[in-house]
Amino acid sequence: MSAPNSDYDPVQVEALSEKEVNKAIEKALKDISAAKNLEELKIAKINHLGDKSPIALANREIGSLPPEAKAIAGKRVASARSQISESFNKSQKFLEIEHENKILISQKEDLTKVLASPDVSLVNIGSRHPLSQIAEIMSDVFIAMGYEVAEGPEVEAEWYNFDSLNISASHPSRSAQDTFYLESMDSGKVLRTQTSPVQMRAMLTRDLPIYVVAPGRVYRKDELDATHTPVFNQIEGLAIDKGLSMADLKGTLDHFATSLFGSGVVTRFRPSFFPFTEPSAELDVQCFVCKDKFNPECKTCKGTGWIEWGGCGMVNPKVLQTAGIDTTQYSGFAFGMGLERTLMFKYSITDMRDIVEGDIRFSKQFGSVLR
Amino acid sequence: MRVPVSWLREFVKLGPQVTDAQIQEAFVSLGFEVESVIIHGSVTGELLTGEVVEIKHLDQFKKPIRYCKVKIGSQTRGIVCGATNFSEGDKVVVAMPGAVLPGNFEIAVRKTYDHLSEGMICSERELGISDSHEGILVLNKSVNVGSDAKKILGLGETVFELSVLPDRGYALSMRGIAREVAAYFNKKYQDPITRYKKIKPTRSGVNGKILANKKVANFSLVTLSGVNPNASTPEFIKHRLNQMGMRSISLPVDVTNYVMLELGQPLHAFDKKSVKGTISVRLAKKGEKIKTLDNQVRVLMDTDLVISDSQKAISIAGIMGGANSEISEKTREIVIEAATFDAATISHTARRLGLTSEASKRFERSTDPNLPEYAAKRAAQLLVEFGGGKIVGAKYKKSPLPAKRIRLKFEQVYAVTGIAIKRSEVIKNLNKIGIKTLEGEAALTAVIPSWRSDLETPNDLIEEILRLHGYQHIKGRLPKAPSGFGLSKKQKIKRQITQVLAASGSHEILTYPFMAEADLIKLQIASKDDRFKIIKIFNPLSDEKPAMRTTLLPGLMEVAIRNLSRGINNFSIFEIGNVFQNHKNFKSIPKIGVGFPPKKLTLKEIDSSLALENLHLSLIAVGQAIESGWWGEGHDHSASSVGQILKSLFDQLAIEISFQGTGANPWHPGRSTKLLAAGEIVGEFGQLHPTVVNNFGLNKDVFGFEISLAKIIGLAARDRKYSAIGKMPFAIEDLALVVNQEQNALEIQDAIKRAGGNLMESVNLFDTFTGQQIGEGKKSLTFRLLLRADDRTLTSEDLGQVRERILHRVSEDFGAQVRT
Repeated sequence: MSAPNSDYDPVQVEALSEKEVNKAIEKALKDISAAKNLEELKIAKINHLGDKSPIALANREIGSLPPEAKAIAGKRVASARSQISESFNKSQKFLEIEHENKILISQKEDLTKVLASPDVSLVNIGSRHPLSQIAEIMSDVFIAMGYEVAEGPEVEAEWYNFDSLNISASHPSRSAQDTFYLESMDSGKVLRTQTSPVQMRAMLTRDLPIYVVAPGRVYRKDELDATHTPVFNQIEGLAIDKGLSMADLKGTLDHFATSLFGSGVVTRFRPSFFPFTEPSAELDVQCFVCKDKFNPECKTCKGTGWIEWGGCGMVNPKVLQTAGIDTTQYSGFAFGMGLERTLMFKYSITDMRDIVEGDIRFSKQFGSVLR
Repeated sequence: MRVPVSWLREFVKLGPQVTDAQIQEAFVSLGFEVESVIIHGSVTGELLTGEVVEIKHLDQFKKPIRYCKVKIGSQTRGIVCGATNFSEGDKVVVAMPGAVLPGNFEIAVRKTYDHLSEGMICSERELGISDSHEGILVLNKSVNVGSDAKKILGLGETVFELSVLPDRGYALSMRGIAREVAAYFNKKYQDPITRYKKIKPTRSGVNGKILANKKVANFSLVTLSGVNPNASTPEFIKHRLNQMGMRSISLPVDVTNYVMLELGQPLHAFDKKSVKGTISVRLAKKGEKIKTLDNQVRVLMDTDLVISDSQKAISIAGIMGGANSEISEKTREIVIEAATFDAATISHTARRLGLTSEASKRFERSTDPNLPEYAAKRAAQLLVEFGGGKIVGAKYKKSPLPAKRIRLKFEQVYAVTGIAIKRSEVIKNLNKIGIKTLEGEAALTAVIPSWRSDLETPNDLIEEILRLHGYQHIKGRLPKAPSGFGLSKKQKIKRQITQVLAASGSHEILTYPFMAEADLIKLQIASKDDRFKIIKIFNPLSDEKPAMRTTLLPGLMEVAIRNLSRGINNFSIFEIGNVFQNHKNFKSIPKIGVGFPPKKLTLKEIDSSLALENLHLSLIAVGQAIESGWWGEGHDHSASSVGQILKSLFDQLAIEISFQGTGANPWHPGRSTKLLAAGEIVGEFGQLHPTVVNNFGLNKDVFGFEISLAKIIGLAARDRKYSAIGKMPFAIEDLALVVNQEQNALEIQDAIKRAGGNLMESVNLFDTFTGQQIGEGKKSLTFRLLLRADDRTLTSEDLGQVRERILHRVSEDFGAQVRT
């Protein structure tokens, strides 16, 4: 740094003049903002903040100024430096982010190949059979209403499956053409033909009032075809309480239908006959195929507009008596429907064989959350 | 049961304002499912009756062709016809040019076989009223020529096909159906039997006798003589039988069928000449034989009812007549039998013989015991009217039953239906269907008509009242069930198990629980194994699977093979389901009464006589668990990979498991093991024995497991305690040990854990290695140890001591050396 020169007029030091300094700032900011990448920015930094930059050179001149001018010049140079630095930092940050993004973008991976690849690739998730799922969904509706899930054996006593339910010894359903008998015709043991024996078991063992559902597998001697299967699933419901009537039954089943098929699905009762209920009713659901446009040729509902969903009724007082329930105090209702049938019309499954054959492509369609 | 609307309208004056659609609605509402709506032969254009006045045979063609002159009203037309079952003088149906027959078959004047054919002589088939191949439809001679044949044949009429519930036998007749429809539309109904007065009993005619009192409530015989055997059935009966799906056979047979359809009383006509002496109804002798009308010889039991003359059985009561007394084309003297038989007896016999008829269908569902005399009279009169002859005798044997009475409290109607049906409607609804009522203050007494044997209890009456009120009027309400406890612990665990297995990459399947002993042999299971305690099905669907399964594996193998055959090569499938085992208490269950609860002990005995049902879980895996691809190397399913699925499952259930030894058949002797939970063997897993897999016709490595879920669910349901998790700094040490090749890893891991004591948080095997460097017959196992103290930071001294203890233990117990 040169020594102070008494006859030197600081105003005369051109490099420190306001005009020159502003010019230097202007040039610096222009160069910095013009830098298209970190390399160009680095050059701009050397040019405008480096040792040989106009500002650095101007700074060197300050020492030669008289004391009273030093302060003003110092302030001017410092302000210029900070303006330029700030601009540089901003640009640097921006260009760094831009640079990083460029690198990341260059690492682009085609994620659509995930969808294009087989299921058993990086992660492998299986599926649950829609029948077990629908059994759970249906049970859950009733659990929410306060019911419990009751169970019973599949190899069942004839007494539970038939006699106790008021099904007479000569009833056609007891023939060997319809019911599987075990070991011999007179063993008194059958593969249960319905989940209704669980009703009797519940009534004989549970305290009143009783509100139970019983999903389960049942057997009838049909050959497997598009609409029949010898082994299928039902869900049975039973309520025994004081003051229950057909109105409670209808309300319960309407609620059930709504929660399964959504609001707007119409159901109806038709007079029917079951030995274990009196009065008895068929429960129908409006045909899903021709619901919006009635088709007299509809194969699903045989042109009737309704699909038979299940049976129901007031528990026959004869059955209550067999269960030892006081019929002057208690009454009850019961209902049952097929799970396969429900699955079929809910999801437009046209071939029963798809449900029973175990082809994994069937279950996979439904995933693990049946809706 | 078919119901022609025209016939129905004859019984009930419905008026034109009631449409077929409304009648259909009525049936549904009354509880008769409409199976189909048949339009009986829909023909447009002119269809006229004609008389064949001349037939000219055209011999120059390959098939018999005839040119017929047919008189239709005042004109005569020439028609070419290929059928030969009619002759000059016969009355036939002619489709005139412009008529359109079913199948859009339009009739036109055309030249054919060198003659101008001006119409067509029709068969039943062409008119769409039957599948008969008998040729041209020949009409009764009494028909007027030139009249509208559509009317005579009932063409274009609606016929409902109804499914009648088993308790409503009375509805298998126009009499019963019409009463219901009249009640629905609030129309007057006159029971037809009030028009058909019964014939007074006479001294003459064939005598009847009941020799099985409890099984026969009515046995009526009407004898006719001088019936013209050549008389043909009038068209109105023919076309109605046709609409009902029955075929016209001969006048006597047609008349008995017609009256059965009309009134619901099955009738049988015998040729009096082949009947000797008195006709009785009795129980058959054991082994007694009879040839029925279908020419089959039937062997009877002493529980079957037969109709018999003084020498032989002439009919199986209520089911089918005997060939020995069949009406022939020479029969002039006829005995009409109308009876009421015990429903259960008829159904039992019909089922045993595998022989059902229109008659047995009605008797099985109970018939009206007051009907036989009227029905016999009606049939006799029709025979007299259309076949000539006269009634020469009528004999009735009857054990009259008092009318049943049922008391119904009015309040019960609301209690059961939930609808406030007015007292007056209650009474009206019962009266409308023939139930008389005696009204009291709070209750009524219903007098049940003879045709309603199904009505026994107040609830039965309420169903009738509700049915006529309309089920659609039931307004739903939700009962207030007490708060439940949701699923039981065990039910929740079962759901969780299915979810975990699906999450582990397996697909749930559900197979039929049937198998054959041969399956166990394919699995090479030792014959002493419990799985051979099989329960046989008396009447299996197929002889290939005549028993209940004792293992889930055969079902899974079948499904695996099906998937493979459909091009699915990599999968893991599982099933949760019961297996069924025989046991020493699996005995016959004696008859138990109803109407009162059985004793607790009886119920216990029932349950202990049933099958041992155990819930099992089995899984099999084939091909790759993870496929190879752009994402990296895949890997095959293996004994270890299915073991890993099991481990994850038990981790999820928080049950500690262990393995023991190797699995028995059907498992691979080198790549399988027994699974222990809480010290008990709960199943086996690994690779299936290659021979077993071959036995199932597969040549692939198959891996899997089968475990008993009952025990596991029990373990998972146990209460458990939480132990606090450590939060002090941890240390990780890797330890590579060289041991003998056959040494199992679990024992080493156990030893390390035990030697580590409190400080050992986890020990995991992460590398195994064999090779030259290690030495012949040796392998290296590398464990990663995570150590942590409850109360302090571990020092290098601590770690040194632990390491020392471990090395000492494993070298002492297993001769393990640290790998250098």
